[in-house]
Amino acid sequence: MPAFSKKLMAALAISTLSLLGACSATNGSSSNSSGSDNVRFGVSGPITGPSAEYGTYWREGFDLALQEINADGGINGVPLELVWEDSQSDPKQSVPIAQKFVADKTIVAELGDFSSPASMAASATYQQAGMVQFGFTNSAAGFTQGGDHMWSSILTQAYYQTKAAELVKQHSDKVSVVYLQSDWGKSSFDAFKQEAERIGLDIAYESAIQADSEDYRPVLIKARDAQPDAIVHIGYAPDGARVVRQLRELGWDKEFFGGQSTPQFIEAAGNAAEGTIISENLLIGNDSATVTQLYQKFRDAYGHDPSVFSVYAYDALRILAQAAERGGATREGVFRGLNEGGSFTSAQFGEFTFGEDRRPNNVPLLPLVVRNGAYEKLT
Amino acid sequence: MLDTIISGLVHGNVYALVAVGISLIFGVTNVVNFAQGSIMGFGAMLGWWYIGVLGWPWWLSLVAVGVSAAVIGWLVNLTTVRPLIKAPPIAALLTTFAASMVLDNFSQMVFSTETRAYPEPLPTDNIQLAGLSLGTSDLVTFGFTLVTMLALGAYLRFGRDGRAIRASAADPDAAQQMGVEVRRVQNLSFILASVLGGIGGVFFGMYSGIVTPTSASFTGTVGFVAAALGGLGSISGAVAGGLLIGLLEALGIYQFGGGFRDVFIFGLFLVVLLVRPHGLFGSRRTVTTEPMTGTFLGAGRSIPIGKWGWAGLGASAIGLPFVAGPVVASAGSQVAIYAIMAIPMVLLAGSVGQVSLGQAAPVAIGAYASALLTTELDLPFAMGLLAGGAAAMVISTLITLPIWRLNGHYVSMATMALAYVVVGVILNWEPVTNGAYGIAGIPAPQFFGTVLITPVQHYLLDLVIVMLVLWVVLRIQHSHLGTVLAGVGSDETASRCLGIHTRDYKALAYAVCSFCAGVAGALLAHQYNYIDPTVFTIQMSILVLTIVVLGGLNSPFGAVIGAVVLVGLPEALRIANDVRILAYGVIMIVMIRFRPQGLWMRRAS
Repeated sequence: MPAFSKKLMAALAISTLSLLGACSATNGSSSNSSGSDNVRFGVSGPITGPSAEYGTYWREGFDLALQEINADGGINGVPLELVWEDSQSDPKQSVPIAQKFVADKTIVAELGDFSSPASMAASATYQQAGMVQFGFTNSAAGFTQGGDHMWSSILTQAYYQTKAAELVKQHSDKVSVVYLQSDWGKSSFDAFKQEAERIGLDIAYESAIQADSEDYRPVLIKARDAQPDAIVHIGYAPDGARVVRQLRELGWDKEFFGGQSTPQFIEAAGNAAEGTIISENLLIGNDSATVTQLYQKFRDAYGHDPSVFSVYAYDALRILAQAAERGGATREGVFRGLNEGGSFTSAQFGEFTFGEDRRPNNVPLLPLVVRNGAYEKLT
Repeated sequence: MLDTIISGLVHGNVYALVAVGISLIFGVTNVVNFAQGSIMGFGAMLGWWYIGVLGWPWWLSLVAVGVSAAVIGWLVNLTTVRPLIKAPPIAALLTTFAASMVLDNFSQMVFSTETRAYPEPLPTDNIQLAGLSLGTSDLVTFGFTLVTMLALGAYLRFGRDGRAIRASAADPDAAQQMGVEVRRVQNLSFILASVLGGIGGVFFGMYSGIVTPTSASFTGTVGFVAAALGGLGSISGAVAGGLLIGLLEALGIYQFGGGFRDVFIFGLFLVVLLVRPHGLFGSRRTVTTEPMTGTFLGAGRSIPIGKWGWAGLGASAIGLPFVAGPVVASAGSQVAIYAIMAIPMVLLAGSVGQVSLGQAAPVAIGAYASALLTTELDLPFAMGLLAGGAAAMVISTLITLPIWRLNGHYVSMATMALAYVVVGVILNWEPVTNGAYGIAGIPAPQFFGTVLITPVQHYLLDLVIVMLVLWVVLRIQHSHLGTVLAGVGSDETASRCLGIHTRDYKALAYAVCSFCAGVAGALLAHQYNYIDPTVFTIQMSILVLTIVVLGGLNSPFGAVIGAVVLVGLPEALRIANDVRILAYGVIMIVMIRFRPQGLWMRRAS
């Protein structure tokens, strides 16, 4: 090996080691003394990697909520602060993050993670440490079953899809359904199917689809050929946009239920989105003062309407702050604040209480329809 | 039915575009370029920028994308492939993977992560055919593929540079002696392939209608499969492979539903590899007989560690969590689990010189076997752990048995396909595996009534297993068996002449790896308490391989160092969240660039 590359190697080794050293140094300092007396919540979520898009939405919602909370005097007069860690929504990384948060005595509660494996793999750590893990994208029922410190501001898919099936039934008697092949999509579809059977909605064709596919035509051709009155998609905005575009290309001109209420769904689906009906919505057509103001604040701050994920994040932080305010800004305090019951304020649900399953209890949904490139309340 | 066939062919055409670039580069450099899919994704985003944001006409945008992609291809070759041309091919394979990571993250930073509608410079739904709306864009894409295939074919056959490219492919040393500037030719083929990839990205965007910086990644992966299916190095084979996969995917999904996509694509590929390993249209000669990891111990020797060295290392590893605390212990148990997967790979990748790009398969089998046995049948943890290892070993080895006749890239592709098939089966075999739901409530590790729940306890358990695996692998390396394995890797023909059943020894080395991977999977399952199919990704497979290459192919302890660096580094880079994966990719390229023989190795010379 030539001498110069030996030197380079040595330099590399030294810089790597010093990086590691620097890292453990920051770890050390944060676990011993916070350096400030702020109330701190940890956030474990995807900043890079395939789900990075959602991390960006979270940040918008969190930043806005944080500004408001601190402008109103923080938690009982003490400023609130978020400690972000990038998990890429990967359990290999979310578990060490959980350990890091738990070891840092200044962190009193945690928000996230995004996907089920990343969140649920970390649950045991938070549960043992008596720290609240507040999931706000975790609609899988299993998440809050991980322990009494797992709370969520998201309704389960059973709840959403029961309502969705009832809505679809009002428009049609026979449907084809495509759903994402993930724990989320599968549990959603199972709930939908169960309710469909109960109310006599005939499912003529059903198939799983993959989120990373470009081409859904083979499935959609079969869905179309089953001659349903409507086609239902259970998934997210990117795949929903592809499904509806390709469906329209296949000449489908009847009703389509699906997609997701995010601006990107309309943007990505373009004209094909016209007439799409979305059942799971809590915001659009909700003319309560909180929601109207929230939309205005988003437009002022970011120049666009909030993604539903931004609102999830916004509400989650506000709810957790309310809990900390009531129970005290400690780990036990946040838990007590949530556990003692009482009602919380949020944009999505207005005033609500947590149910037995540590999720919001019995809240009304507002179905939507896409008209002229915008969401409208379904009438 | 006709509509399904047409839509399959249109989709297959997109696969064909990626496959052509991969095949071209492979033909010249013998390197499977993992960055090709990312270049395509980047090209798609650049096209979106030029057409959609800057409002350039489509032809100008295509030229601009072509030029930008040429620069990227040139840079990728310059930084990741050319410096490693004398190193074992596996080094370049992994640096191109790192380059793809850098490109994807860079693209996410430049273009942001949003999902966007792709501009429609050409009509996309003005032609009605069999109940399907096609567009001028689809015809232009198809035309582009045809023209590319014919032009590239003619160029390689008759063009001066084209013939130089083929000469370099056939024998770089001889070509050099005949006055061909091999370096320039390699550069040229990279630039050509990148231009194709970049422009292909624009067509990909128009076809799919919706893009994100990473949305081309699956198409990129299928592009490899298409290239290998057609026969690596064959341009027309790549096109045929792409169209064939598109068609069969569409028909399979039509018949069985979208959930079976991966089982179909990769299952088909696996079958073709077993029956006709050089691909449907490839010539038998292109199946390289050189092991991917170099021959005659070209990779160097492991740096020896004395008795006291081992004792010191062991003691400090045991002492670590008590000094550094639970955060480090928790990261340490992740490192240890990956070390358990990687250490035995020195027998497979190091000794017999075969590369598995699909270790996620035995990991998944082990994790599921142990999780199911302990939750459904209430088996104790220790039994689950062993059964996980055994199940992983038996299942993966039996399925892959026929592929060990093969060598080089075909083994790595077959094992990669196996990983997709295994995860696909887990997803769809719901009554047993619970499908996409995954398995929750997996009990924590437990011995004789003592439940291990803290990170320090997990770390110590994993560490004990790491030490066991290290000891076993070192013993095998230094035994008679180890010598035979190394013989098979160094010269397979000579070994066969000595009466050694080389295929069986390769399979044996793989079986040891699979057993350990299964045990590691079981440990993952019991420490996470929850698993689902999304845990066992292609990234996991590549990480395992990278660990052993980085550490040093012949050095079990090197694998431990590799795990510390590659699993620990993303944790250490947490100080810069936004760029950490980008930095990780860059550091990986630099490390492999300057120590292609591995961190814990001495060069043989």
